[in-house]
Amino acid sequence: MTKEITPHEVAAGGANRKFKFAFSRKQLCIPYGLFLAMFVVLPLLLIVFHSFTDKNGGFSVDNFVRFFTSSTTLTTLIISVLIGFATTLICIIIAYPVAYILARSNLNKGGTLLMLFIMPMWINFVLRAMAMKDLLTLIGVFGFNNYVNVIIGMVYDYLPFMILPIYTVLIKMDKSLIEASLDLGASPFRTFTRITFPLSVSGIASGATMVFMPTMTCYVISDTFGNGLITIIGKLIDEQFTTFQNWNLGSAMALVLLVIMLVSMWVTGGFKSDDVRGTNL
Amino acid sequence: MKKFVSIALAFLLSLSCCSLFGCANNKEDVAVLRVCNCEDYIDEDLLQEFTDETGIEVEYSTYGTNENLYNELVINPNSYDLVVPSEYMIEKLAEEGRIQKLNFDEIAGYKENLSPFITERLDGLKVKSGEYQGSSLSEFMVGYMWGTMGWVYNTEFVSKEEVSSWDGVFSNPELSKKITIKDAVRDSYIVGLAMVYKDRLEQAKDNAEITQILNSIDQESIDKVGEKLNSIKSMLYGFEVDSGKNDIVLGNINAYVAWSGDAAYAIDVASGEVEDDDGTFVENTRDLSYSIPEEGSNIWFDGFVMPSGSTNHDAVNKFLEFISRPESVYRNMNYTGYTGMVAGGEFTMEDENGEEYQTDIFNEVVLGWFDESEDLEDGEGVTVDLSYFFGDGDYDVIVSEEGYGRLIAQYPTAEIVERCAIMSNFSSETLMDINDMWEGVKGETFPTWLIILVAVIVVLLMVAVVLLRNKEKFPWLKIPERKTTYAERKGLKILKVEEIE
Repeated sequence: MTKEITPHEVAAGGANRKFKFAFSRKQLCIPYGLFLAMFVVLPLLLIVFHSFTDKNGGFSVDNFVRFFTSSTTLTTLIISVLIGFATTLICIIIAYPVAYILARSNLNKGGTLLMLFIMPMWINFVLRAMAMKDLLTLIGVFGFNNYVNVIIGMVYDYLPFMILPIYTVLIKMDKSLIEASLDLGASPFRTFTRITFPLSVSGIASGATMVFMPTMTCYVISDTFGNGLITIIGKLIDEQFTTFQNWNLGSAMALVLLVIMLVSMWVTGGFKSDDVRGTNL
Repeated sequence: MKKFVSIALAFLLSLSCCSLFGCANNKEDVAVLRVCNCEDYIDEDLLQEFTDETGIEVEYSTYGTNENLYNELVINPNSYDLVVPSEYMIEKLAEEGRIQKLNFDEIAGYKENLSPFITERLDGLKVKSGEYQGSSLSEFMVGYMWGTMGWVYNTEFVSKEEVSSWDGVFSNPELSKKITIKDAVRDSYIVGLAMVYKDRLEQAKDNAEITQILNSIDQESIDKVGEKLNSIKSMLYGFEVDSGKNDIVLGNINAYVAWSGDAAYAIDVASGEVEDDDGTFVENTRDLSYSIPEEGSNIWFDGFVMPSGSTNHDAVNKFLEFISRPESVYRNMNYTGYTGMVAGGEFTMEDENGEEYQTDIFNEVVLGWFDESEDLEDGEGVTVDLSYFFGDGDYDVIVSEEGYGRLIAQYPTAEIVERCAIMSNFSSETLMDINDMWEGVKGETFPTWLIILVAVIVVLLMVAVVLLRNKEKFPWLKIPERKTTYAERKGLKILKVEEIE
């Protein structure tokens, strides 16, 4: 005879087990901790290790000496930063009005318009870059200056990363502040400059971080749009790992870049807890 | 950065896999052969046929460059049973003991059918250091494809004379921004050497001397090559490794440094008779041709080698025997456009009526694809003797002037290969020197004062920002308080309600 199991017994099943596992929040953190240690901390340590050693594994600072004494590497770094700056600036100029219109107007019924801006991100960016290049060549915009080409490519590729955080900030903004400003007699322009814009700066900062950092290293775009005539720092790092088999120098370059990012974050106050950079998405 | 992180991750992953599951390949009971090859470099139907014939499953994967493959083998010596690097990488792998010798007794037919020219060249390549010092590379590899490097050019805009030397096209201002060279340091370095040492190469007596010149790695040569490449940079449309063949077919460029297989592909596609990678035929056809400049060029040999970590000898030998059969070689040539190293041996084909006939590589490929003797009058055309490749006997093929460029993309003449040099592997010290040169060619170099100026400005800006953000901590920093309200700024007086009358 089979014994019937009542729903009550099923529910109480846990209590009959010999070993009790009471999951607390602490234990839930273990997988995340492991993941972070394996895939964030350890790779970083590897980069640091490689950059302070030579080919035979001995301690050496030659990689950094070479980096900071080669005028070509430093020029590449400067050019990368400039391309990053230009891209970020153009992205802000294009993305802000777009995000504003998306957030405020009736055009964006049911998020359709936003979807159209975001959808290209679902397609592989190498494919998009090549298609964009062909398209630009077809309409004849392409090819008069390689730097301009690269910046066009970068802006095209990273624009959604600027639109989204600004859009998010604008849509979350308390509308009553704007109404109050208008009620108290401020012009719409003044309302924008005194209320809307200052409140959306965090979105711009978040977007700028997400655009500036990748543009300095995204050499697929610079190779595709610059026909290989524009070298950015990411390409140099790649070549150290592939062509020149010099992992140590490549790691040193990556570390220098990392330190530059950290310093620029620190200088602009990015580590304060109320800073929302990178947390908007 | 992305790539970098992924390499670090791959490294970690492989480490963890090693420690957790053990590095050994315990799959001997299930017959699996792990092959890693260049992309689009084999007729993949052959893999299925191999499985049908032997019962051995083929785990097929591809790699991007020789250097990427090297990285994979360093991280895990037992990641593959067979890989297909080029001769310089085989040399490096052999020097470092990362590949093992093959047992050619088990690979029936390969040595007999291999072209005498290839045998001679491969036997001449010696391992220079390490445990295998003195062994020749032919002991490690089963030859797969070989080829040369030269100009692919649009015959409408570029004359034959301009591509008969490496620097010819750069003296024609009309070709400005219509030329590409390789974005690969070895390929562009040898082109640079050929330009720098043009006179010495033209007077060189034999292949050994040409090889020596085209392998110059002294600092003076490196500097000269750097100068030369920098001076032609303004003429370039760009550096490429992949896009050149499409750019020349589309007419974006008129001349490009090409590997011979790409050259064959580009010429065929541009003629409008062969479909491209996407399976379409081009509408605006162009007459392209291929030329290997007279100074000399690079000749390369790709082959199957067995990483030292693999123990899958039986499957490896069976696969190598299968892939070296004349029929497989023919099908791979047909599929890839590159040239196989096997010259002899017969195989069976079907003609259009479904009748089987015996044939060989020379009849099927050289005569079948290139021979134009029936269309040409007596005395017209060029007679090319390929007996250096196919061995003793009558191996003449008659082609038109136009067909000649296409033929030498696949089968260069004896005179051409005599001028083509194998490029040795660079040592890591040489690579460091060439690295500096190449960075200088690819990137810009600002004068030192400008770099220092930029650095000073950046530091000043940073200090200014830090000071401004923390001004309460620096009382000596007297910054006038900003007037915060509209009334204060305008100097208006704010009246209390009681005061208003």
